[in-house]
Amino acid sequence: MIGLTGPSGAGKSTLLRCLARLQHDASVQGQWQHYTFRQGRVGLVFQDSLLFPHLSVGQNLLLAVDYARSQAHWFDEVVLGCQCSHLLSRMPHSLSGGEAQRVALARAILNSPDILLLDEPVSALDNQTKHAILGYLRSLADNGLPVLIVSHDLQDLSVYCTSVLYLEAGKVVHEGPAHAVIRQIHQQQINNNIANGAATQFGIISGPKQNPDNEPVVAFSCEQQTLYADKPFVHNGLVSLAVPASAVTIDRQLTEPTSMGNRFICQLAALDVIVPGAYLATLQCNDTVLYATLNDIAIKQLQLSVGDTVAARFAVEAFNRL
Amino acid sequence: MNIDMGPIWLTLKLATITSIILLLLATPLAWALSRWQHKMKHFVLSVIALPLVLPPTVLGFYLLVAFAPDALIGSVWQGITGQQLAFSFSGLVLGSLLYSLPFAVQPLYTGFTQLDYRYLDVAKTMGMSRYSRFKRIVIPLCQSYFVIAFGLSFAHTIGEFGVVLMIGGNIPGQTQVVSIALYDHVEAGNYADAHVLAIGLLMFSFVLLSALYRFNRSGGRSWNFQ
Repeated sequence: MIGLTGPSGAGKSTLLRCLARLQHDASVQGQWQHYTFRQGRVGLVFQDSLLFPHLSVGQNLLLAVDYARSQAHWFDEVVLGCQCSHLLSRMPHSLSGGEAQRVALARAILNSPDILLLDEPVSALDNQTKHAILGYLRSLADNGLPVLIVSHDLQDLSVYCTSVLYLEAGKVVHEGPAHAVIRQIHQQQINNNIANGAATQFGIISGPKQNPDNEPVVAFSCEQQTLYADKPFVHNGLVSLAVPASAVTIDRQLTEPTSMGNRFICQLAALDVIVPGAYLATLQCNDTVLYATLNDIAIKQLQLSVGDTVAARFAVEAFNRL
Repeated sequence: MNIDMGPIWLTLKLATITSIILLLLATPLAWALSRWQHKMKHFVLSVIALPLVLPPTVLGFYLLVAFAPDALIGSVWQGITGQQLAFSFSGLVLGSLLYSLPFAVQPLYTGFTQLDYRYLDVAKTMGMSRYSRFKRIVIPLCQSYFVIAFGLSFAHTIGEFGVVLMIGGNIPGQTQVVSIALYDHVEAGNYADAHVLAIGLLMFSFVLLSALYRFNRSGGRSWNFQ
């Protein structure tokens, strides 16, 4: 599952159109897993769903099944995965944006494509549904269906995608494993001193799950420290969590517990000015990087300087579900 | 008062045949025009729209010349069918096709240009052939425009007079349509029969147009304006 991101107008949607062979003046060559871009069946989901308005939801889905190349008997499973079982008899114009997106997704999957290209497919979904759908997409990807997903939400991409491409002005600027690319993007934003970018910074915490499946609060180990999260995305026993900078506090109480639940001992690796009086702290423990936003009063009171060992604290709630 | 049903049946037959053929011709034409981007496009659109503003007698006159047995179209027709084109029912159909062409092309052209082509992109990625896309997506989505194109061509053909008079003459059972028969009655001072035909045409046109307007307002047209 590959994430594609970048500023508006970078060419993300155009790239999808090219890959779907809808851009007549484009010539596409390439291969991804078993899929050859020149001939395979593409499942494309546009940002605004584009359900056929003269057909009911069920008919839209059955049309996709009619033209599917392999008649896999998984209708119910897909409909359930995309959470649209209760929508089958509805007409598209009566659906909300989020419902229409789910149906469009189901339609694309039921057409049994060789590859799934998704343009902001979850932008209109509420958070809980969004994570359920993204988890379902990831499970499809793990079962051999390549998924390319365009999103502005770096947190989603960092948690669910195996790798991320960052597109700018039609060119791939960063590419690689999700966490590495996200870090590069953050660094670029810090370097460019983008205040808005700093406000949306987040770190990615991941590690093996430690407790049994049925407990809602998951304990996992990251850099040999035990952390907790409420219903996080768990994949192959590995927990992934995006923690926004605004949700992290810093103190020097390295041993005492607080109500925040999670304590992560790390080093203050950098302190960058976002705007006068406001800072972005980069907190590092081996390969794991967290961010925290601070003001200069907190820095004075804690007498913080780069290289200090501090406790980063954040709540147990999974931030990618908030 | 004795109503001669001949001209009425002939008119209905002419309008039906013309509208069906027009729909078959105008659909690909309007489709091609809606996708065609060229600086000559306005020129082609103007040519198609000419019958809207041209006096029917002008069109009729040129058709009469073209249909003459020594003219190209007339002689080719005669060579194939052995019959003369001018003053025949076939000639009337050909004339009506040209005369009503804009009434079929314009609604379809509007429908096709307002259709969101991304529906077709989706259909294409789903593996639907060109024909299936047209049948299962374009026709249902532009349904109302097809109905309007058919209705307007039908109504306009029923109302034609000048062209028919020029190329059809006034042969009962062959080219004598209602509007011509009405003219005949008036010329002969037979106002009672003229009234019957006139009120019939008036009522028919009114009912047809009302139905079209009503359909247009309530029909599936709103699909294209989501």
